[in-house]
Amino acid sequence: MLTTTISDTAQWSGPGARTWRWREFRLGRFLLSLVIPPRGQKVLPTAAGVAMIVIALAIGLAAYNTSSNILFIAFSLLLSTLVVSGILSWMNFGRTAWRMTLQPPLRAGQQAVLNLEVHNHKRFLPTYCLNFDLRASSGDTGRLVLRQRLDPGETRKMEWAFRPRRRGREMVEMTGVNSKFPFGFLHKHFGGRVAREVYVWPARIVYQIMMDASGTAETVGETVPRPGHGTEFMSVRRYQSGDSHRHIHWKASARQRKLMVKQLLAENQRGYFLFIETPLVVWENPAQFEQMCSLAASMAEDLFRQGQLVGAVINDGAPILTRRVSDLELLLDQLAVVEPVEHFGGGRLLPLRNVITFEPGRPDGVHAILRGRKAASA
Amino acid sequence: MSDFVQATHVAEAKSAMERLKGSIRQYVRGKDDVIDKVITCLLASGHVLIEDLPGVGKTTLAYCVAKSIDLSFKRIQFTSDLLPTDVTGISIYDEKTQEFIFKPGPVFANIVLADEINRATPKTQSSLLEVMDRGKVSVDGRTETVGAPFMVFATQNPVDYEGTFPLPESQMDRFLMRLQMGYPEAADEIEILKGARHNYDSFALSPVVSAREVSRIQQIVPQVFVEDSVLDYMLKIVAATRTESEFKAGISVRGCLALKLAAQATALLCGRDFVVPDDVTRIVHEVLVHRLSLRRAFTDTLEERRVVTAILRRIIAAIPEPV
Amino acid sequence: MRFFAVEKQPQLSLEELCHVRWLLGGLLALLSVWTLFHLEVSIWPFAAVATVTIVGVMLHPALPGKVPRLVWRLLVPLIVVVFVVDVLSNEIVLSLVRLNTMLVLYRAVSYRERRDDLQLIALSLFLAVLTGVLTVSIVFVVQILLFTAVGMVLLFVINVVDDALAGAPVSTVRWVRIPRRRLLLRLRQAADVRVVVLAGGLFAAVVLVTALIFLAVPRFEVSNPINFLALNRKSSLTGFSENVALGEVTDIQTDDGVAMRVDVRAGAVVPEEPYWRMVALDEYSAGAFRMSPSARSASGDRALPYLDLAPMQQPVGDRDGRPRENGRIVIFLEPGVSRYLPQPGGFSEIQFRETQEIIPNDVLRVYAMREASAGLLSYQIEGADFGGVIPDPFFAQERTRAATPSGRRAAPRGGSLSLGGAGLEPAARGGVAYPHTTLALPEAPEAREYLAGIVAEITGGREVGAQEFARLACVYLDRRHSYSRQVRLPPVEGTRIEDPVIRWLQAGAGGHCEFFAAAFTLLGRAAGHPVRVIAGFKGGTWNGYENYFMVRHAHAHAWCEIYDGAGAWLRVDPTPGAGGIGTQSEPLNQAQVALASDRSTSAYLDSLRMIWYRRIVNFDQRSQQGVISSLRTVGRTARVWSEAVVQVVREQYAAWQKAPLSFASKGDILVLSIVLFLVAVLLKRLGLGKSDVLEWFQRGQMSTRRRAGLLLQRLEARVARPPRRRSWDEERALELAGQLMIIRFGRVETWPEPLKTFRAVRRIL
Repeated sequence: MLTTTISDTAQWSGPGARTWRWREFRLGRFLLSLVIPPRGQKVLPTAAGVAMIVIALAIGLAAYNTSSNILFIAFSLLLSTLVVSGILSWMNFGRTAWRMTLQPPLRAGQQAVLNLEVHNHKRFLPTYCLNFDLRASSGDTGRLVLRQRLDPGETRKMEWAFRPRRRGREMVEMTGVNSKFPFGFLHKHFGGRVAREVYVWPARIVYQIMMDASGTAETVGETVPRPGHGTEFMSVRRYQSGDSHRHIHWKASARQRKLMVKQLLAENQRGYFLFIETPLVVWENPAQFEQMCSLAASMAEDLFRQGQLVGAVINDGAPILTRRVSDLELLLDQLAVVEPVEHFGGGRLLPLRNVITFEPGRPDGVHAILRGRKAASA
Repeated sequence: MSDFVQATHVAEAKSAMERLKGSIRQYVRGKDDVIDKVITCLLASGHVLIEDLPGVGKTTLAYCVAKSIDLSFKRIQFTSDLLPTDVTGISIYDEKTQEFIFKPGPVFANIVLADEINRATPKTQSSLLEVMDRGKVSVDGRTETVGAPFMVFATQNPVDYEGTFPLPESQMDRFLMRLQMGYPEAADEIEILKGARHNYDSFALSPVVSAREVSRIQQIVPQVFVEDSVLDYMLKIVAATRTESEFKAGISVRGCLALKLAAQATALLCGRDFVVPDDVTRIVHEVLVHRLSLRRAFTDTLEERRVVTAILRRIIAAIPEPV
Repeated sequence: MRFFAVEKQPQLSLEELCHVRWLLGGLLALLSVWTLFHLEVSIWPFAAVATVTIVGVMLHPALPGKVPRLVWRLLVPLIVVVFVVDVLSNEIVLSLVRLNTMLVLYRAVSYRERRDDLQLIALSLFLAVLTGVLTVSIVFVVQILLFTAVGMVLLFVINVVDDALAGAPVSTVRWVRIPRRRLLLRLRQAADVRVVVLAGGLFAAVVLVTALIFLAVPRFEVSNPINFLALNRKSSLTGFSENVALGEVTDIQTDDGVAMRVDVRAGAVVPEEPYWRMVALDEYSAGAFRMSPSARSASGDRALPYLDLAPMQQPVGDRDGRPRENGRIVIFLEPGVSRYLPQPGGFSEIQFRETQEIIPNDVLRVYAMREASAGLLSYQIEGADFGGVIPDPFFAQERTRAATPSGRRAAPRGGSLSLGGAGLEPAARGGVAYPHTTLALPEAPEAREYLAGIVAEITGGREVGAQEFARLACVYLDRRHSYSRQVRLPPVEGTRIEDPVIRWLQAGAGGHCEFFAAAFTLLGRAAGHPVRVIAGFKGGTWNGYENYFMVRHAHAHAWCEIYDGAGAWLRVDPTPGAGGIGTQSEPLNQAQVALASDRSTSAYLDSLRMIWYRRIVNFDQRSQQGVISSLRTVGRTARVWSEAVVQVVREQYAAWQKAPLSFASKGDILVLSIVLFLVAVLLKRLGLGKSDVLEWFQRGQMSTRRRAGLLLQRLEARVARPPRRRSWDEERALELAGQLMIIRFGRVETWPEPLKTFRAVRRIL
């Protein structure tokens, strides 16, 4: 379900996504598709197109009434222009492919960017004037326009910014490609729907921290292994500019043939564990519940960044130990879809010391509770 | 022997393998797919690399295979101080006869479990890999043939880094397949738990297939018929990996041969004397994924494997199966 | 592997596209205004002004911006007012053209958004088509094709610009001056060879599709097509009218332009020198002939709409050779030649493409339009008869009804009273009515005397019939006068007779056809035979390229018709060398056609016009059926031919099989083996090994595999979704699927019988 992480392997779709073979050509199907467009495709005349058809009909009528061949020629020309514009439009769509990629993370209320890549697989002909209709399930709609000619073999990347409103699963889809190419008489809709479902993480909110003020004596929490400057070896990772040369793991570098850096373990004793319970009886107010999700997510991120997050558990789910960024992402994904539950076992006791729980404030607001005291509130 | 498989042989092979499968299943539960693939490897005279965490039944699997076929089984735990001679054997001077006597190492068995192969130094690794390739051991100018059939189960832990020597890509090529065991399903795990804790010696397994039978089937496998369009299909898959820009390098010719052999063995396992495209798609991931690496660097092996799998799946989806 | 597009093609910027759009719009307007120059002289200055304005604004797009906004606002009402005034004072069609031109001009010189550009295209199209319909000129094809090309490019650019602007108005792009040279350079850079080639191909495709639609669009014979787009001329430019003075016809002869073209359809026989009657002139006075008012009104002087027209005297009195039923000719009369329709005199029907207002005169057998047509007029003549004998059963009756000149008050057929023309002597004014006009002579007694003398000289005092008289008179004129374009008449003082014809007769001078015709007329009348003068065309040249008759103005001619006293008029051509009376020159034969045909460049150019008229302007239901039937014939011929070939080959083979192994057949075998050997060598040279050839032969086997694969697919789909019928046997299906799989992928040696399996599978499906 983690579509956000494998964004690089998004599939191409559209008529040019697959290599086309003569072997697959069926004349009957092709001819049928000229008369009845395939599913999702439709061709509608534009206002100019309607005008053109009316003019053509008028000239045709005049031609029949006067049996003047000049009028017949004009009539035929108009009709053939229509026919040719249909063929051109078909050629324009032919062998183009598009794909959608999303750049994670997506957070509620924050602008997200959708990348649409269009590629022209044609050997000789450019593609013009494609419009892509985009829609996000939370309500944003938009249209991306191929403003310039797309030459054969060229790929163009276009960006669409939208703002997911709520956390949860967000369906981002390209509802269709359409074009008025070449003469603006026909509006051709090419189905080609592409959709991606992504998690929208809860919004980041500002909250008040009261942990240090309250915690005076007992500051010993859970042990959090995290990269730091301890003595014990934790793992190796790729060299990034700015890393100290003293930490280069020469052996690993020799084996991997790229610079690797040792990450040393720096344990601290100030680990917190988030325990997120969502019984419906407690979280009756949906607004408060949303706020709680946001608070939990924001706290989880902040604690993780400070190396103070051991893990988290949501209701009866399996505990997530946040060792890597991907673990945190998993947690946020879960937070994105969590809902108040009616039947909740409840009362699970975790054999851990620094467990942060959440409870609604009166009359509003949400509080994070650590050992019976308010640790943060929003 | 004629150059194509006779129907009776196919039937015999199939029944023998069914028996083998049934026997292994008694102790390795809920892993029918893995068992099938291991048997495929056995038929194709290939070796298996199992990448998974300790304690999911790798050894049990290897042991069961060995016991069910009346084959000898040895296990080598690879460590960083393991020497090549610890694997292949050593010539020692006998005072009585005043000559060197070859003491065969653990590799002289039919089924060899090379545990945590990436913990050993490259030198030791290559000594094993040489045996895997040739089926022979050369020590002090003498060449000894290892058992026949000969099959290596190598395992490695995909997550650790420290103190490991990952197998180079060229060596990866020598394994026919790379498999994952995975955790068993809940129901199967309950079954396992219910059963008493066995140690290997208490396995009540008796051979159901003879070693000779296995050797004969191994000879049949390369003769399984592959129709031109199916060959073409395999070649297209391989060619597509070579042109895919995300991969560092495509599948080698050896990989291509391996694909063909594995498909042939799969066909035989299904009781057919010819290969259908389904046989190819069934084993293509196991045969190819470990032979591919990405151009981009990934620190996480599991992540890299997942991306490779995804790309390969896309490639295969884009190539139409022959009709 | 791409050899092209190695370096990226530059693209035109939005501003440059706007420039191109502006220029193309202007060009389109120019093209449509250009068509006006083919229309009528009166509209030329108007069109010239429009052209200059459009060109100016096209090149200096800043100009419209300098005109105050108020002026633009007032322009449209102004145009409407001008149009209303125009309509009230002028002909509606021309007013429409002018209105259209004004609108095109207005749109072409103002700044345009997408909607305005579309309007411009529609208006220009209207203008081009309108003028095309009015002129029916061959240039129309060129114009409309150019128009289409420019229009398509313009639409394309509009669309691209529109998408690039994403709905914003064009005026948001600010530009004032068009950098012409740089734009050209950029256009050349951005034009991709492939795209240009494609555009050319597309244009060809448009033309092709147009031609196909034109040919294939169903044609109905509308019973009464309305010609609402006809342009009427106030007067004819040149040519024949009902008054012909001496020398007028000869003046026409100096013009070498083509006056009409005659398409001779199958079955029609056209003599070498056909006579095309246009006007019949019965009244003579002082060297001028005219159609007398009484004759003109003899069958009603009213123009009526006709689609087809038959002479009142159906060919009852035909003596020799009834009109050939199939003899069909089509005449294309150039605009402005005359309002009288050229026709051969004898015919059974004239058919027009559109309703025409015609004043038929059955008495003189002359058919006039109200005015000379401004466009090309084409009509078809059924049963054309060039015999030169025109039956007129009523002439005798009318003559008896108006037996004396005093009986003129009982004018025949209720025609209006003849009041005479200006050229008549006062004594004759009040006039002689029609039938008698054909006998009228100059008033002067000296003239009559002189004429009687000549008549006596010709006849020798005998009473001779009309035909014989005509022959003798022609001989007489031929002997005494020679043909000459220049006529020198003796001065009037020498004689007391002022009539030029008589003076010419007296002088024995040379003269042209009109003098001969006039002289013969007077002589014939003096002898008591009704005679009338006919003006029209004689002869024509045969166009060798397209096989039709070109009749030029130079073929204008005058001749006579004499009443034979038995209900028919006989053609008499007294001009020397014309053959005299009732000449029915021989029908053209092939050799003569080849000899006489004109193959000059001008003839070639003219033949292009003819193609246009014949194949396109005159295309109708009948032509469409012709095309279909000729296609059918081609198909049938091809089939017959191929059947014959197969038959012959089969026979040859059978014969060859039966024949004993003679030396000849041994030779065949030898040749065959040599050929085989050569083929083998060739294959070797081509690098085709045995296996390739074998593979080629194994195609059959391959296709069995393929068939099995396709069936397998269907069968698998069926097994996945089994049908709800009772007879569905899943086990059997799976068994068959296994067999198919073996055939598809298995070794040939292990195959079950393929055909049997296929049959079984089809049954189960």
